Amino acid sequence: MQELPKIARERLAAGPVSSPHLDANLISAFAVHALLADERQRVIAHMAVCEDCRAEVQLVISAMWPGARATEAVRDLTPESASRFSWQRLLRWRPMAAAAGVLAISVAFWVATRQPASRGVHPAASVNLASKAEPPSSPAASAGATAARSQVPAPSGEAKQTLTRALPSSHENAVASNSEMTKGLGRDAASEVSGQLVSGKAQSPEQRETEVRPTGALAVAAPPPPAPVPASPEANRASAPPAVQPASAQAASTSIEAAAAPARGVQGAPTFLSLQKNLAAPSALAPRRMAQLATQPGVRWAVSGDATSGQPIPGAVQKSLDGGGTWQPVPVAPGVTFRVVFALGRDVWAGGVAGAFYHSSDDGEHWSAVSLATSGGTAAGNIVSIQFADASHGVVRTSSGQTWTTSDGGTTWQLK
Amino acid sequence: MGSRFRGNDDAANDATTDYKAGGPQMSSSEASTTTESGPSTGSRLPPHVQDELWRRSGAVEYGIGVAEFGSILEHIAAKYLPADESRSSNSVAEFCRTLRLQDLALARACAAGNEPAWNAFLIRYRESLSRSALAIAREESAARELADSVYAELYGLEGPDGRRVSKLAYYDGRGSLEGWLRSVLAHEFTDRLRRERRLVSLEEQVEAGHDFRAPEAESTVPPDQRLEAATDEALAAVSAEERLLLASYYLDGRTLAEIAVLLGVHESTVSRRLDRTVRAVTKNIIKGLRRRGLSREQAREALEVDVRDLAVDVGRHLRGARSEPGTVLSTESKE
Repeated sequence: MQELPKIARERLAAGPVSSPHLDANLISAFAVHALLADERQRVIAHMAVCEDCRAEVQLVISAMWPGARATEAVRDLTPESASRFSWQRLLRWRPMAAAAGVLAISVAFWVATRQPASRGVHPAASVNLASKAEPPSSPAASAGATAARSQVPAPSGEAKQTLTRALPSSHENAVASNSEMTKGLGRDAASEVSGQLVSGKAQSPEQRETEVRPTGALAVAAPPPPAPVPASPEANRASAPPAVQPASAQAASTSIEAAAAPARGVQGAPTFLSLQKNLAAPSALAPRRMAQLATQPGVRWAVSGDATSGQPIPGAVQKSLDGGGTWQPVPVAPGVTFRVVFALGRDVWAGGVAGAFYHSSDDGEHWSAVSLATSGGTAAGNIVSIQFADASHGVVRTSSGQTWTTSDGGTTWQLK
Repeated sequence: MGSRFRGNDDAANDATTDYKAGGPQMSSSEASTTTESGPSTGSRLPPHVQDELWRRSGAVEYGIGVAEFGSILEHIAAKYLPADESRSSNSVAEFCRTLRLQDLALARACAAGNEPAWNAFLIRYRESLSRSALAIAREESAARELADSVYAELYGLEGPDGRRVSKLAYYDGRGSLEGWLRSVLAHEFTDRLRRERRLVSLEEQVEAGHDFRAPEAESTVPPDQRLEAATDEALAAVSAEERLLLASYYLDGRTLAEIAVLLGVHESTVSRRLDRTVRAVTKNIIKGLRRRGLSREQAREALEVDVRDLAVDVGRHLRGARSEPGTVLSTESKE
C-alpha cells in the first residue's frame, strides 16, 4: 500500500476536536451498526478527528464476544454503502461476462473465417454462435448482479412435500458444513465473516424490503397454505433464471427459508418457499431468516425484527394462529433477545443472545430455561440455529461455532 | 443490593415527577440537550402508540406508568431527532419503535430505585458485565476494579443536592443495554488510563528536569507553511469516513480487519478505499503545492523527503504530541 506522506499524518493528528464526544448510547449503537444514517455520519465525523473516541469504540468492539458482531450487527444503514456494494458485485462478475462475450465473438469470428469463400461468410452462423455462447454467460452475470443471492419462488404444494422430507437431513448438512467452516476459519476469521455479513446485507435492497414486514416476522416457522402461491413482487424481482438453481442448491451455505412475505400492508400473508444462497455470508446470516416447518396448521412462530427495521420489540418471540395474519408476542422470558424459534408439534424451542435457550412443551403456554452445558463447558455466544428432527433429536448452533446435540429431547446436551 | 434504595423512595418519586413535568432530570452535560429542547407539541407520541410501546416494554412490572414511559420516550426522541419540521409525531413514533424498550424500561426503573428491577438487572447483566470488564481490562484484578467502579455509578452517586443519580438514567435504548454497559466500561477504562498516563508523564517530566517551556521545533528546518496549508486542504477534501480510515490505520495502527469490523464493510473494501484515499491525498497535496508556486519536482521532493524518515519520526511525533506539557495540563478530561 502506498504510504501516506508524513506531513499528512501530522496534520491528520493535529485536527481539532470540535464536536462533543460520543456518549455510551451512541458508541454502543454505532458498534452494532444500529444508528440512523445521518447519526452515523456525525459519529464518523467525530471519530475521524478524535483519537479518544476511536480508542473507546475499538475497545467496545473488541470486548464483544466472538460472534456478537455477526449477530448483533444488524445492518449498515447508509444507502451509499448499499450502492457501493452492489456495484462491487457487478464489477466482480463483469470480467467473467466480458470474457464470455469475447469468447463468443472470437468463436463466431473463427467460424466465419473457416467458412470457405465459396460459401461466403455466413452471417447467420456467426450470429447464431454468438447468441448460443451468450446465454451461459448472462445467467452467471445476473447471478452476480443479484448479489449472489437468488430467491426462487416455488409452488408451495410440492415444495412443502420435498422440504418436509428433506429438511432435517439437508439442514444438518448445512449446519455441519457451516460449523466446519467456522472451526476452520477460527476466531479471527469470524470478524471477517461479520464484515462480509454486513456487506451481504447491505448489497441487496430487495432483501431488505422483504425483511421489513408488517408483522415483524423474520424467522417464521410455517406450514405453507395449500393454495398455490401468489408470487410477491419482491420474489419476482429477486427471482433468478432457472439456470442458477443447481448452483444455489449445491452451495455450502444454502439455507432453506420458508418465509412469510406479505406484501406490505397485505393481510393474509402469501407464502413462498425459497431457496436462498448467500455466498458472502455463510453461517451467521442465516439465523434471522432461518425458518422451520411446524406441524400444526395455521400456527406459526417467529422472532420479531431487529432494532433498525422499525419493528416493535427486537428479538421477541411471536406466535400467529391464523397463518401469519396476526401476531401475538409470547412472553418467554423478560428482557431476553431471541434470535431463532423452532416449533415441532407442541414443542417450541427459542434461543437467543448469550446462550439464552427456552423450551415449551405445551405450544408456548409455559416456558422453562434449558441449560446448554456439559462438564466440558457452557454455551458461548448467541444461539443462531435450532433444529429438531423429532421430539428427542435436536441440534443447536451458536454464533461462536459450537454445535450442541441432544438425543433425549433436550434433557442433556453434548458439545461437538 | 436493592436494599440500598429502600430509604430512597422519595428521591425516586421526585425523579419520576420530573419526567412528567418535562423538567430537568438529568444533570450531566450529556443530557442537557434533552432538557433544553423538551418535547414540543410537534413531537408528542400519540396516546395509542404510547400505550402500545409501554405494554411492549414490560415497564408495568417495575411500576412505570404509561404517561411516565411515554414521557421518557419523548425525551429520548427529542434528544436524537433533529428539531425541525421533519419531526412529526409519526417520525417520533417510528423512532421510538426502534428503541430497545424492554432494556429501556429496566434501566430507567433501576435508575428510579425500583427493587425488582435491580434484581432483574443483576441477574441478567452481572455476568456479562464482568465478562466485558475482563475483555476490556484484560487482567482480572483490574477488571474487578473497573466493574466495581461502574457498579458504583450504576447504583448512583450522590450529587451535590444529596440526590442519588444513577448512570442508568442515561441509557436511551439505542442498541442493547448490554452494549451500552460495555461502552460505559470502555469509557471508564480509557478515562482511568488517561489519568494514569497524565500522572506518569508529568512525573517523568519532573524527573527528567523538564523545564515546561514551550517545546522548540523538533527539526532545524522550519515547517514549510505552504506544505502545511496544501496538506490541510487535501485532508479537508476527503470525506469523514475516509479520514477515519486514515486516522485508524496510520495514527492508531489498527489492522484492516479491525477497521472493517468498525465500519461494517469487508476488509478488501477497507484496503481499496485506504489506498485510493492515500493516492488522492498525495495527489492533492502536490496539486496544492504547485498552486502555491512549487514546480512538480519540488512538490514531489517536499513530500518524499518526509516519507523517507517517516518510520522513525511519526511514532515519536505522536507520542511527543501527547506528552507535550501544554496539552497535557490543559486536557483535564474528555468532557
